[in-house]
Amino acid sequence: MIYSSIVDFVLSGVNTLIGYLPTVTINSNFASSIATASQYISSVYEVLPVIVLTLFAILTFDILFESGYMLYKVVYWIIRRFPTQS
Amino acid sequence: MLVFGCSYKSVFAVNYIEFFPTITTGGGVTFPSGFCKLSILKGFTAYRNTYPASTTPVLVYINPLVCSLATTNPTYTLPYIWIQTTINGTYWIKFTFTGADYSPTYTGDVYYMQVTKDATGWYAIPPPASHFDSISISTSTQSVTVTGYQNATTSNTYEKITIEQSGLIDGYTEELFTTTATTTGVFSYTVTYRVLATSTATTTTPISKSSNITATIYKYDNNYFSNPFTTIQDYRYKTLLDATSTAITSYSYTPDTIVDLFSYPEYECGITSITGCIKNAGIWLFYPTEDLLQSFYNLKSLIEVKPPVGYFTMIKNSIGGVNATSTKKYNITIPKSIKDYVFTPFDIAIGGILWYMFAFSFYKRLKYIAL
Repeated sequence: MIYSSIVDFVLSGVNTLIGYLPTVTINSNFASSIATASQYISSVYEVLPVIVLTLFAILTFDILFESGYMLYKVVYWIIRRFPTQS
Repeated sequence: MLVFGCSYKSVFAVNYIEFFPTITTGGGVTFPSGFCKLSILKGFTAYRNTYPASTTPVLVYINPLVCSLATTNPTYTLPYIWIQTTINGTYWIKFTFTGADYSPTYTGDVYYMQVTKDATGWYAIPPPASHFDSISISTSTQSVTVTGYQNATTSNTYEKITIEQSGLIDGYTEELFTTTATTTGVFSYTVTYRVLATSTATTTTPISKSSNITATIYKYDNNYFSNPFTTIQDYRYKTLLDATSTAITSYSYTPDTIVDLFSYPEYECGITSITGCIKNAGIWLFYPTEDLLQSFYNLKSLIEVKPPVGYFTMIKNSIGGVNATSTKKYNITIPKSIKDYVFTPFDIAIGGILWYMFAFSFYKRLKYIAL
């Protein structure tokens, strides 16, 4: 009861603040570019499957890793902006 | 022996009256009073098929019947009427009034009736197959009642009605009731079902548990009991005619707030189990509600579509849409021998080199990461 009330109050505040941010949407051209890339990859995959999968896996991992690292940097930068008692 | 049911009026009738013969168990037919005021029943003809299909007439033997117009309220009972056939199936009978004696084709007053013959005899309205009509639970008397229709044992076949309870103990099914049908007709059986005993100790034994009651009607045919050579039971020996089931649900906890409780554990609380009361109080104070858990999921979903996390999520979902097995932009055709002996080894070798290079480059990248 106590725990639920406090946490529910905090979550409501956080939800309200985050709700003021704009929603991220994907450009339709981005989706069509993914589909076109898949078509070209499929053509080469039939001949060189291992190379295609290796390059795809490395690129995907690299993009996700760098994106996650950048996200961490951004979030940490936001957190450091909050004033703390010194 | 033929048993009559309702009759049907002919489209060719000129003078007609409604009549519904009374069926006797011995197969005799009694006509209502006033029947002979207008007509004289002259003959019967039976055809094998459903009305109005007409095949070769089946031979009919009747006790000759003539009623006088002078008689106002006659009641004629035919000792018997029978159709000379041993073939099971559907027949329709044409009754002829006025016209020439025993003429089946006279289109004066004509009535039709459809009857059916099976191994048990003749009937106008076929008896229902064995089935369940209802299954009901009475929690006040801790009993289950099933109703339906059963067919009695014949020379080589018999039906058994069985009621079972399952789910009370995981993996265990108990047979509550079984009986062999000895009469043909409706049935109603009531049997007591099982419940878990209520715990009186300060333990966490559940107070009640849901279970299922299943009732089945099986038909056993001794003509197919077992194969004498393989001794394996023939599949035709046991046939499921009908089945029904119902659930006995356990007591549902009624929350005293507007917030539903999710898997709310509850201990027995009483004078002899104070520990349970203390535990229940602690749960009430600190155990999270379902709404609270749902709020966490909602917050996670909201963060995934808002910047900055939304950009990462967008990239992750988009890259996940790339696949190597979609529609090809163009086709590359090479001989199988060249593919097996040139391209495949080259493919594997380059792939290995790429993984090796990735390992080194990722190691160097991790060296320059500053958290």
